[in-house]
Amino acid sequence: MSGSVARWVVLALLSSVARADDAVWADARVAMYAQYFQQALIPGSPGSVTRIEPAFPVSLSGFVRFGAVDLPGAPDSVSGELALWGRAGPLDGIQGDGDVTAAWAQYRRGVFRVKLGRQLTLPGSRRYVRFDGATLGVSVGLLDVDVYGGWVALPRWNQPRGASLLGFVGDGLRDPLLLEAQNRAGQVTAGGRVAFRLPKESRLGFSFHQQHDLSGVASRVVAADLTTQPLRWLGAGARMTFDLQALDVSEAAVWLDVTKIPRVPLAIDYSFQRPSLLLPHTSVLAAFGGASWHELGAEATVRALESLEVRGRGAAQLFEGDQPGGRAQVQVRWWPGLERRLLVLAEVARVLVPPSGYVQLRAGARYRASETITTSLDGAVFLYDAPVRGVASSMTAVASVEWAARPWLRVLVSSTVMRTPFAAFEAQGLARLVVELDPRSAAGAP
Amino acid sequence: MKRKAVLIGVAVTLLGGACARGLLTHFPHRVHLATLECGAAGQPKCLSCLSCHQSSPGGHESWSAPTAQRCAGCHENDKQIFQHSVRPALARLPAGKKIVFAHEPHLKMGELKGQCVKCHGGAVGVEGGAPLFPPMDTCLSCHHHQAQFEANQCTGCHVAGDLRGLEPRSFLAHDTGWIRRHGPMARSAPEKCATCHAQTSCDSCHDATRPLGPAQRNPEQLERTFVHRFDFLSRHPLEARSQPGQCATCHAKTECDACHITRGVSGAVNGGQSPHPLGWASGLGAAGNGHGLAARRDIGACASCHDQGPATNCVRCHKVGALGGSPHPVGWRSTDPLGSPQCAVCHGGAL
Repeated sequence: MSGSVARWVVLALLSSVARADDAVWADARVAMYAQYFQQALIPGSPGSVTRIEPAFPVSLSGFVRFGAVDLPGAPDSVSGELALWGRAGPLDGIQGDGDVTAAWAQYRRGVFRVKLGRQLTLPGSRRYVRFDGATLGVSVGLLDVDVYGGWVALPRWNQPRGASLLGFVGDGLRDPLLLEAQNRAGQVTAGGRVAFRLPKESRLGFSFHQQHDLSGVASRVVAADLTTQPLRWLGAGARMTFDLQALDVSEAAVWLDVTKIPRVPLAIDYSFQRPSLLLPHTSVLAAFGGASWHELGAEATVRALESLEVRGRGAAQLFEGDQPGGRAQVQVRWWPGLERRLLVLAEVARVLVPPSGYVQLRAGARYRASETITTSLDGAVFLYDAPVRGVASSMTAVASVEWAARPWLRVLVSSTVMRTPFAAFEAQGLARLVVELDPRSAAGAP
Repeated sequence: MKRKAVLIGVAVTLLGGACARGLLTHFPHRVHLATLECGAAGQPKCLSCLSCHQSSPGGHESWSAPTAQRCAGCHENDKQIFQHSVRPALARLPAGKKIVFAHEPHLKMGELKGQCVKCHGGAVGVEGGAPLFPPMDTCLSCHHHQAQFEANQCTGCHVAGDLRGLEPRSFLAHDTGWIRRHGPMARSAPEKCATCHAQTSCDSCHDATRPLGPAQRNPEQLERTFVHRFDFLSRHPLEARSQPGQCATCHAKTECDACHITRGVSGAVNGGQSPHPLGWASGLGAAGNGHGLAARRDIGACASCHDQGPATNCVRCHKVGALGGSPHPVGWRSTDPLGSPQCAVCHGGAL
């Protein structure tokens, strides 16, 4: 008992003092994408599809982050991140577009921290929120308290009427001139979270989140969440969100992770949602609806050998008052040989959404032909229970070649061909160039 | 039938190939360490791990792979043997395997008896056996670092630069079920995520503003779970109905509306084609007035086209005094006053 107490005292002290002076670090990544997109359309009802010419959008994204920057008397106290993207391409003339997705700096001193700028928060609701503002935090002993507030960076997330979204790579063809000017003045958010760090890797948190849009209070929720690891091989978690406007539970989930057999990790989960409460309350339709949705699922990975992995998931779904549905998926991954130069992947999935559903058959392979060249081929067929626009299947194949010219420089060329209910033939080409300051960074995929 | 046969054939081929167990390295460690007759007159001297893997002061990285000259001590065709034995992938210590670790005191411990294979069992094993590099669990079976772990102080053992490229295995394993847990886990312990990840990590999948989706940006990443992989356009109504809250993770409902109008899959477009069957709202056709059940089930799906405030066509029939009756479900409660904009649409004569 005394050992346990001492351990938590040490933990409290460690979490309350400034860390040792680490070296300043930074990592960065810049990725450029050049696309070719063309679609041959299946003749259909007038206006059912939008005819387009071949398009060649070019986009650029990048980020830089840093940490352990010293201020006088405050070692390792400042960290930050900047991430943005831009696009230019001929659609009807050359057009440009772009956005800043992260731009924040954090100052941490002793038990206090403050984070300013464009940042993310995970409120009680399911969707995380990007906002321009401030987060203030304090960690005292085993208690963490954070409060945040600012203007929601929502307008770019709302695709208003009249914007162009075209096909499989539709987002790349978005026409920024069609974006409506949106007023951010009333789009504000505020919230907070109190969390307790408990024994057994446990965290218990309570949060509040409120979000306004131009019409008023769109969301006002409280939430509770718990994660714990009572046994070395058993993890568990639960969370629940309560809507303070509808006075009802909007979402809840419980899960278990069992790793008693290391080669056969198992996960079991139950989810509950009331979809009407996921709508902003400023929507008149939020007062309609009412049915609840339940999902009970389990998934497991079987690693019979180092080179073979079989992953499977099955879930039963029920909308109250309607027929049950479900999803099932089995995926096999095989890396023959120690060097794992070849990955072979096969997948079968079945989705049942009465009165329709689909079957997916997928096969793919990736081969590291040399230290610098990697190729991949991935294909799938979808068979629909009920034809989509009179067509009962989709076929897609994607091939790529990547050249790691330098540890910090990679070039990829890929090609996609498709036959879908929306296009008798669709071709896409992509060239990607990635420059990484720190190739080992897990900061984000290109 | 033919499809089943093909699937079974693929499965058998994969399993058969995978069951052909191979040595973890080309080098016959077992022969050199255990079965080689040694020590006696006329026999080579007995070998230990240290005979080839030299250590020098300076920590873990100084443990070197053997050179061709090392083989030449006993073998005549040393270069050929060396080239056959060395695997390029193992020539460099993988990222994350560099730890602050002193081999010498560990090897002197009674439990280990100078044997490297107690931890590096994979060196003399086969696939499916012990790993070549011990997982963190092995260290934690003797060393207790719970306090440091909780405080995210990893650099006592790990090299700082490596941390951002490590994938957790012993704790917070990004394994079965992780993709469904990562949101709540990030909410629960954001500072742990920040040890390795930037906000950009979240955005690499969740940022709906970026010009290309993650599946299109990363066609070579076959094993990653991408929601929109392949022909998502054709199956998106099914996915939205199957997992109603999933879309809301990243998308606003207005995005649905914008695309539907552009494509003409909306009654709000002149010449557009309503996706609903005849009688959907009137009850006069085969659909039998099924819109009520559908709305009760997932009003979010309705909102993807019909969310225009006072102009919403649902209001026309369901406002107070209209023929459609009250749309509220049994037990409906709200703290919003009737005078609020969304309530007043039906209750306040705002139309």
